[in-house]
Amino acid sequence: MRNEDNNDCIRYLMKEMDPSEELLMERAMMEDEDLLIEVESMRQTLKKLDKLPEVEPPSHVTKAIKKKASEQAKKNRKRDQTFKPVYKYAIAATLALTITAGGGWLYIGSEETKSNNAQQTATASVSSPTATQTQGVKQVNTTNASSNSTGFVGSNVENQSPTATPGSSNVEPWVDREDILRFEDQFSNQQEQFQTILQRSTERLKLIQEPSIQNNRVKSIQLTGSKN
Amino acid sequence: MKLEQSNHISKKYQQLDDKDLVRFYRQNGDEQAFSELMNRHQTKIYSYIYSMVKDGGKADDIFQETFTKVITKMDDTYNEQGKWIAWVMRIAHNATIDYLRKQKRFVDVSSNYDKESNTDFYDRLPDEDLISAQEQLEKDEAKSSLMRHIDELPEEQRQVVMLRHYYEMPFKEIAELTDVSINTALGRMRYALINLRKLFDKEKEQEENNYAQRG
Repeated sequence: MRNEDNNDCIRYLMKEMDPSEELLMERAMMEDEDLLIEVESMRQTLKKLDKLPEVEPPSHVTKAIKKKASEQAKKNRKRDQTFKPVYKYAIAATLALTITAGGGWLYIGSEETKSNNAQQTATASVSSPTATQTQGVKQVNTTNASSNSTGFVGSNVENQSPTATPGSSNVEPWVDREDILRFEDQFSNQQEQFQTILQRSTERLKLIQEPSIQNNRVKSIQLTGSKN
Repeated sequence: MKLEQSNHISKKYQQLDDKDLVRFYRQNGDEQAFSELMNRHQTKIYSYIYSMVKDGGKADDIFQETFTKVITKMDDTYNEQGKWIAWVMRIAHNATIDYLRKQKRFVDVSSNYDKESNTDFYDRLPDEDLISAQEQLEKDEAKSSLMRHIDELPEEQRQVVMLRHYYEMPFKEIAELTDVSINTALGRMRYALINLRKLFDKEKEQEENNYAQRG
């Protein structure tokens, strides 16, 4: 008989078998008389263990332990009180650091964007002699000027993208970065005329055939008002 | 004593389970929660220690040492996911074993049956000299025959019997606590019962002989 098989008697008596194992064990006991005798004999001995006395610890020992527990609890409370302000300072310092670092990061980010924009503008002005935003504005303004006589009063095209150098003669593409192109003007009962001017102005814009900015990060439509 | 202490503890604590009591003591230093925990388990822990060292004074020391460790280490070492009492029992068990080792009374655990050899388990029973010493002890009325027989068991068998009896600890946990396989733990229990049966039989035989002699 293997040791594990012998241990099955204990597992059976101690109720550490699952129901299917118990069933098998009972079947085995029915078939093997020696096994049945061994299990019953162990059961009798085990019963005697129920009489094992429980011994109480002396009261002076338990009192001493409880006193120690109370002292330790006080010590822990004191330690918590000492550490709490330190934690507060630590949290405040961490917050301050986070805010400073975050602010710095944002500032660097904005500076980088600015320099990128400037670089893009410079690249465009060198590589693509197309109509600039300024020119676009000029063109619209020209149209406006010509239409002033027909009641088109003070036209203005406002674009939120960075403006090019006013004196620059180089042609820069107008890049749509989801900026808003607004035509602001006043028409006095000449809605039809305004529509014509608007149409004429926007018709001039067309997609650049060979975009000068090949940066993958700039996924924007490049339009120009000149012949590309 | 236990009843007296219980009277001081509000009923609320008596209804809480160990986990909550431990949490109350750890978080708020709630002394009543700790008292309730002690009241619940002190007898079993003390009985286990006492049954192993068989000396009241030493049992007191080990019991106190156990709870000193429990109090000071509960914040750092005790993981609330585990059973608190299993953690305390491990401390008590280790303290007991340390003491027994120091006393050089620790029986070598790597006994033959543990290695699943065919050595007769009766080899592990006390020798004749020890039995005659036990006969002297029989006169000590304070000790029951059961306790005497338990005392005669090898250390490792007694451990398993006591852990099972006082804590109804599953054999898996006994195996973990005593650093043996589950089969070894089961084997120890089995041999403990066989040895106890033999000791009871011997005692009965002696009583019958005495009775026959008197007759």
